[in-house]
Amino acid sequence: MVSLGMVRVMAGDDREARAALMTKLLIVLLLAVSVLSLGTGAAGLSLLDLGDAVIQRQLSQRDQVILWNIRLPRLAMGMLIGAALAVSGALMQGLFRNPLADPGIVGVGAGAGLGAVMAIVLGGLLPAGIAVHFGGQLVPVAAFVGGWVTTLLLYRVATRGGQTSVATMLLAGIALGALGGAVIGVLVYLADDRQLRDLTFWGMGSLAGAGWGKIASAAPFILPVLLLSPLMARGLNALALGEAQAAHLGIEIERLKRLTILAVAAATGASVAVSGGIGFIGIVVPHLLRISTGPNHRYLLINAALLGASLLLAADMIARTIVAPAELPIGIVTALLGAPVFLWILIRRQGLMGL
Amino acid sequence: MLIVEDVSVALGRRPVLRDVSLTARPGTLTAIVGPNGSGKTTLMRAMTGEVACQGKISLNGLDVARAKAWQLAGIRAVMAQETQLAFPFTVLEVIQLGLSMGQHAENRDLPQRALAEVDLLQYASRNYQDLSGGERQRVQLARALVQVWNPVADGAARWLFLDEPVASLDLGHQLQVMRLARRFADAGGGVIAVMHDLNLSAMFADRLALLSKGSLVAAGTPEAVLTDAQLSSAYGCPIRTNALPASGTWLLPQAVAG
Repeated sequence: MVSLGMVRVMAGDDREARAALMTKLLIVLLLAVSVLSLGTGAAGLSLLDLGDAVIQRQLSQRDQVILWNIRLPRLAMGMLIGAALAVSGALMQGLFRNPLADPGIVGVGAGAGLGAVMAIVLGGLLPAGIAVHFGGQLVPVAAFVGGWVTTLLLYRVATRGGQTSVATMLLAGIALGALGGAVIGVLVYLADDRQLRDLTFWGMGSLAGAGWGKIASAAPFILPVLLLSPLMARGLNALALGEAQAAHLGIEIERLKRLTILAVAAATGASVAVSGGIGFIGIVVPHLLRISTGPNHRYLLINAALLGASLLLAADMIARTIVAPAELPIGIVTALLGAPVFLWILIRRQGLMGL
Repeated sequence: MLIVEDVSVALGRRPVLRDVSLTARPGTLTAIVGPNGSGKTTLMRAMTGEVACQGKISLNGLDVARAKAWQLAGIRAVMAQETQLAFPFTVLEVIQLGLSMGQHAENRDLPQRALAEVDLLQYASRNYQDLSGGERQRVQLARALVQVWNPVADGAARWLFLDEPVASLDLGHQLQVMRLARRFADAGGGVIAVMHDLNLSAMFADRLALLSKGSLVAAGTPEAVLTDAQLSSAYGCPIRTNALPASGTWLLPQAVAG
């Protein structure tokens, strides 16, 4: 007879303890990556300079500008976007009950991109009153709506009677992504030179051009999702049993689904609006965390935000230094690192997928 | 008290249940029996609010069709025929899903006690997805037990709805699970179980409801329901029941040639 105490140590509580420990480690990691990120960049302002500045409490005028107007907003935006991508991935996977659901892969990113591109190209056609009303928020709002409509469509198509078909989800994602891409293509064709410049970075995703203005327009969408997503943890855990069973456990399924879809659309939409389509963070981060500390959303969502922020900052450092003084779009870096991991997940799950 | 009044269910245009009326009292175990496709699981789903139906179903005075999910979750737990899990939760984590918000703080050892009840204590840290069908069923039963741990709470009975709880279990665990259900009923709770095994139903249930082609054809004590004529007609083959000499209630239905 195994004693209860021993089981508790060996089993779930142990995993809970590990997940809680993981949170602390990830906070440390994020701090370390943040400091490194502040000391990395094209302008010659290194970690040593920053260290000196902290000790001597002084920084040249030029370095102050670099720090406040370039490095810090870039750091803040990297954190915000990385956390948003990872959390929307985890939320979407919980909603679809499938570790392969990722806004970038199943077309939600494309939908959000379409919304953003429409706002940029066609925004000028809106009555002046509406344009002024939205101000700088027009692009993120349009991206949010685009992402929301796509997620709703995808859920309708891929889910029958509370069960999501993986094959249908992925194939519908391809179709929605292609549709979004085609319409974006038409709009790019129609765009003028100035708009074209605004659009070019959408293809690959980039944190270049990070500034406090962009952060101010994305944060109102992303921060609420990051802060409120832990409230959905119990519901998403129960949803792993299936919709009917989750309802029997007292979860208001329809409300949970609506909230999750809204949250995914808000976080994905805002990310896409300010940084284009950065792929694979949303699938790689939750997957790594599930392997190491389990699928419990109470920890998964928080840890995903932390690890997503760290990974995106790390990818951004690679993007900024590997072809310095030029800069690689960060979407290329995350795709190079993330796509093989995605394939690895597919191979590991072979036979379980029912494709 | 569970009251089912004139309940009909149609899936698409095909009627699956027709005018079923049934009551179950707290402190009893009711087995719903009948051949394949007779509507047993559909009736169960209607009673748990999973499928919409015509007619009226109330549980402890709560209209099942209108009640909120959390209201129902407070008075009844449901164990489905089969539960696939989307992610690799451990056995203990699955059972913890049965804990409600309020329970979590005060009853942290409930999941372990429920696991011990179904003889799976040493499985606590195993991945649910790696278990056999029978083991998964016992884990799900433990989860349901955790949800309604006290058969009577706040002066009202709580209910267990079990859809074929012993279908994929070996003989020993079939008896174990039925004894658990029996004890829950004896302690004042209500148990509704969809059953395939007429012998186990006769042994453990207070009342049987026999469904055939979507209609309730007999309801009452095992002796009243498990008659040669009723079984033969419902199952569409000649069946003879024999009472074991040692116990008046244990019936052995036998298909006979001809």
